[in-house]
Amino acid sequence: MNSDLLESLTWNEKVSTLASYLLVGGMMACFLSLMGLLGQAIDPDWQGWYFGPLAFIISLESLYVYQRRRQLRFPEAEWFSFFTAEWGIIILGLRVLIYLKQGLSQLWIDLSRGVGGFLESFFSGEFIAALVGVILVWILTNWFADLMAPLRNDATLVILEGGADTSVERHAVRQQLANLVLLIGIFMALLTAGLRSESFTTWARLPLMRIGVFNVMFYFVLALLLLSQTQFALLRARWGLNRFRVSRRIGASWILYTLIFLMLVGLFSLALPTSYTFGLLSLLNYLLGLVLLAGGFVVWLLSIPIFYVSLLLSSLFGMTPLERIPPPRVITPPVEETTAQAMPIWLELARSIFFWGVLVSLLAFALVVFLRSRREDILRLGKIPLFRWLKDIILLFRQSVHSAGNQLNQLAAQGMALFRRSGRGSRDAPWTFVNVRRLTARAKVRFYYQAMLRRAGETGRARKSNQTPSEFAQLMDEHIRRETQTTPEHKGLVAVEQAGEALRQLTAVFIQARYSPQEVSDSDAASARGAWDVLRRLMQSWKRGDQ
Amino acid sequence: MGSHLFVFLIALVGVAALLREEFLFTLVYLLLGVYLLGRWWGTYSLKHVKVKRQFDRHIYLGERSRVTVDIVNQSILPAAWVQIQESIPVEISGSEPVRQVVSLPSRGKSQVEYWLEGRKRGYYPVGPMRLYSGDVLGIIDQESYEVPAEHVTVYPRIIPLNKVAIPPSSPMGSIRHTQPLFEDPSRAGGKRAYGPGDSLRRVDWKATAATGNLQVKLFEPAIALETAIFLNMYAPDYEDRQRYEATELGVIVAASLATWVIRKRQAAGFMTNGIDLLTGAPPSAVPVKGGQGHLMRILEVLARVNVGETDNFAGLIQHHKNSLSWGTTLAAVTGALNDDGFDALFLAQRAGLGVMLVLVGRNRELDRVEQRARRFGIACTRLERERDLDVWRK
Repeated sequence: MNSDLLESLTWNEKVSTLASYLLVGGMMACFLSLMGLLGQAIDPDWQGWYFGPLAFIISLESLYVYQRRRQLRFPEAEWFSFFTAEWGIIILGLRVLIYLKQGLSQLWIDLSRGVGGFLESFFSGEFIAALVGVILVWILTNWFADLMAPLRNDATLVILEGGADTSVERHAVRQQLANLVLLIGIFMALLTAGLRSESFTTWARLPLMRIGVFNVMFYFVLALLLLSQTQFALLRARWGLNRFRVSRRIGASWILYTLIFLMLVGLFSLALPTSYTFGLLSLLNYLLGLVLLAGGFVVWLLSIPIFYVSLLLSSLFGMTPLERIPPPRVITPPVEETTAQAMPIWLELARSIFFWGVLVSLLAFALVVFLRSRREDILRLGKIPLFRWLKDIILLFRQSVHSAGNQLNQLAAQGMALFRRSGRGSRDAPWTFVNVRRLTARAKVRFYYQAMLRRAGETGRARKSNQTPSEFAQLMDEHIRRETQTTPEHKGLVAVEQAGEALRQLTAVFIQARYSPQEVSDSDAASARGAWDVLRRLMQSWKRGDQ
Repeated sequence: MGSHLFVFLIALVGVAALLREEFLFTLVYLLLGVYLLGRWWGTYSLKHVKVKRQFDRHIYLGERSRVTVDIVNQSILPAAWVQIQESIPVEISGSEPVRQVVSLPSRGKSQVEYWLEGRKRGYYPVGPMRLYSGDVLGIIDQESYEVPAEHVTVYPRIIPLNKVAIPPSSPMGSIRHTQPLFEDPSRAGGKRAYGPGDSLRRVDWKATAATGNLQVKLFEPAIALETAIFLNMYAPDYEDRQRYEATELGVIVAASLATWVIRKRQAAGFMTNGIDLLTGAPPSAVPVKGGQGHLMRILEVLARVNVGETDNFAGLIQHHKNSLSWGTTLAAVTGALNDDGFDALFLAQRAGLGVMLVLVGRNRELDRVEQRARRFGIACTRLERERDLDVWRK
């Protein structure tokens, strides 16, 4: 098995290493060609188109000889001879390339100038600039090579039979590599953005240049591909240590899938809006400007004592004092931008909303995903007093909002319940807002009868569930007679007969309304109301809960 | 990587707003898209990977069986890498551990093969299989998914027997016997001249008419070999040092006896007080029946049974003896037998069952048990090791 395992690991490592070399070469080409474009923009006569291919070749050369170079020690003669040979070839190659670009006739002209003249023309300004670029690429490539070296030698992991776990080292290397890639990328992005910005170019006294976007974007795509290869290297280490049999195809498919994935994401990114702002970008710009102003103001304040000290020292020693830093200029608020094209305001607004919606959603989602993945770190932060207080405040705020929301919900629910109950009536409801006028005649009769029942219940004479309306009426009639006889002050108020008649009338109308399909007329409802009025006056005089 | 990227993105949005550069927004979209879609891809791809194992669920001891694992990506998105790790118990592992990494294209399929080898009877899990996957950029930690284990039964060793001294009791059956007591009227064995005392029902009238002399039919004796095998797996009945060997020998004896009986086209049943590895409780009794399928059922229970502290052997016999039909042979396979056990066997014998005692393992007490068995008139066989079964092979 080991031979199979070694064979597949070695194959995948070779594929991955080759891909990584090409990717680093490509990234360096993007980087140096950006420099070339910069030079070309500064001096339109100079042609820096060859910087990209040159960086690619130099980068590959550096990576190719890296293993050999690594075996040599600095003070040894072999190191010197190797280094001299390498750089001799690079310098000569570079000069030949420039001659090829300028035309071979330039070589004959330079040769005809003699040794002094030849050397002068050999080390021309263009050559020096290209050499600086080559040295920069060479250094960066070596940096990459140093970082990528531990990502190789998968086979030794298997042979060592559980030797040192290099996956930890590979993790660190991957992080360093990501930092380096990001650092170069930030530099390229800022440089390109600066050169494309009018305010920056005015400040730096450079011409406004619309260059470098392709370089930056392509650099990031290649950088992401390189990072995917480092992930592959990490996994290879783990698989090797655990004796996993790795498919030979995986190395190639890894590159293919990453490439397709990045292409799709790239196309998706290009399709998303980037420019519809409706003044919001200006506002953001202004806010960021204010932050920068505050920073500048702090620097200016700090410079005041330094200025006065330097003034004192210069007066003592008779030297010219330092020039005082001018205070930062106050930024003017953004002026509403006027769109060049005659576009309807609603369309402009819709596009702006779309742009900001997409951007803010993506950022918010990324933040949420990030915070979720760092849940433990956030929990750890909660132990620090400052964060704990912040957390308590947030919790308090959340609780307040939550309780306020709950109360509002309860109120709304109560309102809705009342709204739904209207027209139906409910025996269990303690009180209801019922507009009697809007009820039907049948409902009015039921309403007056139930009002009578409720009032009877309040005075301790509630209708039992097993009593029919007639039985209840009979009992109530007896009670009315008894009550009116024992309470002399009520004798003059309501006659017993009148009350009994009202009770019978109300009961009869209610039975008709409740249990029969016969139509209930308005006169029935009116008679029920009249009966209820009589009974109500009588029952108001009864003591509550009096049996 | 995530934290750095996130800080970078925030800074980038700030710079983009400050310098009003549109391409920086595109860069933000690219990096955010890679981050979010990378995460999504990493989690999504594994959810759509399905695994199916194909293998024989039952294997004999020493047999090798190939397991084919089909790993199918049902999604249109490829799974850049899928790490497969199958757990196989060492008792049935027939090849190197399954640790493989494959790449599954869109709707792609991969196949992994390995072997199982039945080295020890039992009921073993094949799996669980753990699948790991993730994105190509390392944005998320690896996602894992567990494919539940399936089980394989390794049958116990079966030793082919030829001549087992099982005491016959049931007169109706299909096996020839030497004792004329169990003559089977359906198995004609010849004719002879009538003699005094011969029953008139035995007279063969056709032969009498043909010969002119009274002829009687002769029948071949036959017995029914209904056998109920009782295996004692009650742990305290076995000495600690001998427990494993003795109980395993008991299982082999029970399996071989059941196989021999059923291959004779007779009926066999199996009862034990051990623990079924499948349920964690004593297995239910396998009733006395015939047929190859029934033998497989007995062997399956024997494959899974293990020693335990449940009902003792006497209790097991008493519990099941009433369900056995008259004349059934009760084959008690045990490593020890106490007074209660003897009582149970004796009562079974008196109830019309043929009793046969097979003592397995090495135990100083077994001599005494053997003597007592003889006194009770119980046929007893002692088997200390596997090769002692040769007495039934000759």
